Amino acid sequence: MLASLLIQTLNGLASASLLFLVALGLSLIFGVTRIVNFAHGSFYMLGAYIAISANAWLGGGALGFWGGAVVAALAVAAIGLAMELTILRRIYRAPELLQLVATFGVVLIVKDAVLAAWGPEDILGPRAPGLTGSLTILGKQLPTYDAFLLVIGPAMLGGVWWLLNRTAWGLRVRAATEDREMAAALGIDQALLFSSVLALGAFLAGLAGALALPREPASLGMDLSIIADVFVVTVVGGLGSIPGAYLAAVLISVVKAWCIGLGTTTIAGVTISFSKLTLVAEFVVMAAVLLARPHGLLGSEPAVQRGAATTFAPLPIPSRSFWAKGASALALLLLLPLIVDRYNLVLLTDIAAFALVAASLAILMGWGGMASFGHAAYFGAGAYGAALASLAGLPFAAALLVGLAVAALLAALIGRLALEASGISLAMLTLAFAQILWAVAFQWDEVTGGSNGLVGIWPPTLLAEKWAYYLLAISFAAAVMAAIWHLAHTPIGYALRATRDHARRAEASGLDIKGIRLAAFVLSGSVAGLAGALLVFSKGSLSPDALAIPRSVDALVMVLLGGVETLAGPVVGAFVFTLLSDWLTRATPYWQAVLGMTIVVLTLVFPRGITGTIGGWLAERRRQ
Amino acid sequence: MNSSIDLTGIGKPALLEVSDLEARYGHARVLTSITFSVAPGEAVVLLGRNGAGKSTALKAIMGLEVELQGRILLDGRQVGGLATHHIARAGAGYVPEDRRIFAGLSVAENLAVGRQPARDGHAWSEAEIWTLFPPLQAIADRRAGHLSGGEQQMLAIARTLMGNPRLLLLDEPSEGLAPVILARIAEAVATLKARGIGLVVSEQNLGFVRTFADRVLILETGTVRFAGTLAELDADPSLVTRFLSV
Repeated sequence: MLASLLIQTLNGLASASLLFLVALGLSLIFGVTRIVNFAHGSFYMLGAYIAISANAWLGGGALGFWGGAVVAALAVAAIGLAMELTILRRIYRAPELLQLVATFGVVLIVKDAVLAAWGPEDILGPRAPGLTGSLTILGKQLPTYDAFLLVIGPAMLGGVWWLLNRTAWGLRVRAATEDREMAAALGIDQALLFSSVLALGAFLAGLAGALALPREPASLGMDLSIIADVFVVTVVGGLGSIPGAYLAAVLISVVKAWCIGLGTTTIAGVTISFSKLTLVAEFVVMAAVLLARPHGLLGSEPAVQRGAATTFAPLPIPSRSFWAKGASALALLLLLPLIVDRYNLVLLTDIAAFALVAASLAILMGWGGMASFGHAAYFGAGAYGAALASLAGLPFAAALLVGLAVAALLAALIGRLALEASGISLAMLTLAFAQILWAVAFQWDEVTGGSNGLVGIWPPTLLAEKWAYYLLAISFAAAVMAAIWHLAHTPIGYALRATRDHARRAEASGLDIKGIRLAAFVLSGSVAGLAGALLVFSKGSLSPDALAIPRSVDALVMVLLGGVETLAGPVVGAFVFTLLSDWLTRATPYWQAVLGMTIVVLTLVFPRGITGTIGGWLAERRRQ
Repeated sequence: MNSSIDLTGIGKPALLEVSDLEARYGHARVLTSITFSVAPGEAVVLLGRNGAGKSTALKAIMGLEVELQGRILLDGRQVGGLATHHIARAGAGYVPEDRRIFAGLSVAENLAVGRQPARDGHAWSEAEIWTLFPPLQAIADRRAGHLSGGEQQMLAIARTLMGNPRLLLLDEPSEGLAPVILARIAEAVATLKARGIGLVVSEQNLGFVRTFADRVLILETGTVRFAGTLAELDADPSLVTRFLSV
């Protein structure tokens, strides 16, 4: 028992090393550039794939493996540098969410590039020559390679500590992490610093990808699965704390390894399958740390960075003409079934649901100033709740309500925990929670149908026709949207925006900050859940994809594309984005890459969203 | 009242020449046709109430935050529109209002961050810094975040000096400091002038600048209302009531 616990601990430490390498790069990049680099997982994936090719190219063996790892890390460093020079450099002053979305554009491009270059199948990588055997510890076997990995983490921690604390470059990185504008005023070239940090961070992620090969095959899902774990590690460790990241990586990896090691155990007559509880364990560790230490294990109160765009324009009060335009738009939409075919009616139903998702996210982001990277959690929970209720025999209306309620409860739970953190940490946590939920849906075959999902979820016969269901969805969407627009200029809406603009002042004015924010989470989650519930009856089936990261990012893109500073923005964003991605998926097999490039270009051209930027242009014109 | 008079005196080449400077934050114009110059070893003081545009003028020279128009010549070279770090390397040093020391770094590390290659054959050494600001030497290894306000102000100036600037921009150096510290800083400014460094100092505290000010500019709502010597300012007490007293 003791021996196997020890082996599992060592195993966990080996996993922690790889996780730490990726988190280390992410932390360094975030510290200096203030950009949460979603593409960091893509760097990791690229490292793995390039190492496989480099290994073959170098003729395998020791040179192939170790040389290949170095070649891969260097190649990924060059790719990171290219990303900095072509994209990030242009958007350092843009709102942070826009930067995040731009890096997600890169995720999509890399995914399709890898698909084109290496194909869709998982590829088994080389094993490390000389480290293929195992060590015997207390009569148990530990793979020699794990022992090697075990050392790599602390070695890299030491190496980077030395770089940061003993070199002139490191000193500049630390200074710029605190106040990059002041560093520039002292003659430090930010651009050079940013480029070098990006290259180093990408190098570490690429190296981790290459070194992961003996333990896991290279696959197209590596990017997003690691990024979720890395977000957890970064936040649990304390944003910006490198030793904290290592500690968090160790804590989470070891607890997971123990769960696997315990396997199925009977405690006091109850049989528990611990190996199936790894996800729950991760969640529990994360929740416990955050409740005890909101800034993470070794983190401290985040410093306020200067020069970032954080001011919001006042939300316009919906005028009579705004409502009139809205009503005529709705009238037109209700007449559409007369001229539109079935395919497009389904698409329009999608748009109605996504408009709700985008609007619900805009409540959090636009009014509350709280970014949610994991909005798919509520959308998916609403969909699963409604689908399971319907399959259990509940009538349609009741199933919709169940969906909404499940999403609201989930939002209350996630909000309660995530609101321990704030700013970008809060956003990263929401993504982590959504990813855990996705994994649960993916693995819990008995209830969710696992990767096959659920099928046969249809509305009552009255609504079976596509046009009928479309009318229902559009009416729901319009009613909810009108309520949201109305809510914007009620005391709740004002209070929420006050907490966004200055939390301390709002608190001093007697507002219950946490309560208001939590209420916003629940409201937002409920609307997203309703959208999910509505959509599942339109599709008739449901898979874990509804909870996956790309779904969350879609919502972010819709909101940012449409613009958070206007009421109609999210609706416009949902409309444009859904049409665009529908058209792209039919036009090319590499639609993800095209979509990614489109996202990147849009963030460069429309830094304030379509409605915001065009509104700005028009205002400028009027002035002239 | 002519804002474009030559303040450098005849025959002295200007270190900094600002002409017709305009600055905006978005659509708000904060500075209008500011013109002045600074000679080596000269201290020009910008006086004015809060919001008069003093800090913005310094930031504009440093290429920070604002959009600007007009000419900013440093050693005869146009620096307006350059990136901040290029302006710093061209010889401008900036000490911001709230000091902005790197709180997580030690005093010595703060100085090291500021270090740039020698200029005109001279580079500030730590030893010279300790001579200028003796209290800093004893706390060289302390985290800068743990320093007192006065120590932070000394460190902020010292850190900028490590870049061997020819022109020093000090934004409200007296704010919140005790008289004994003020005296030390005024003394340091005098030393820097004697070494040929030109200074632009933004201030509200007329008493503090008396020991070192060569010229004074009074700013109000982004424009120059008075330009002249301290003696000229003192000759017309109504200026102080109109533009400076609260």
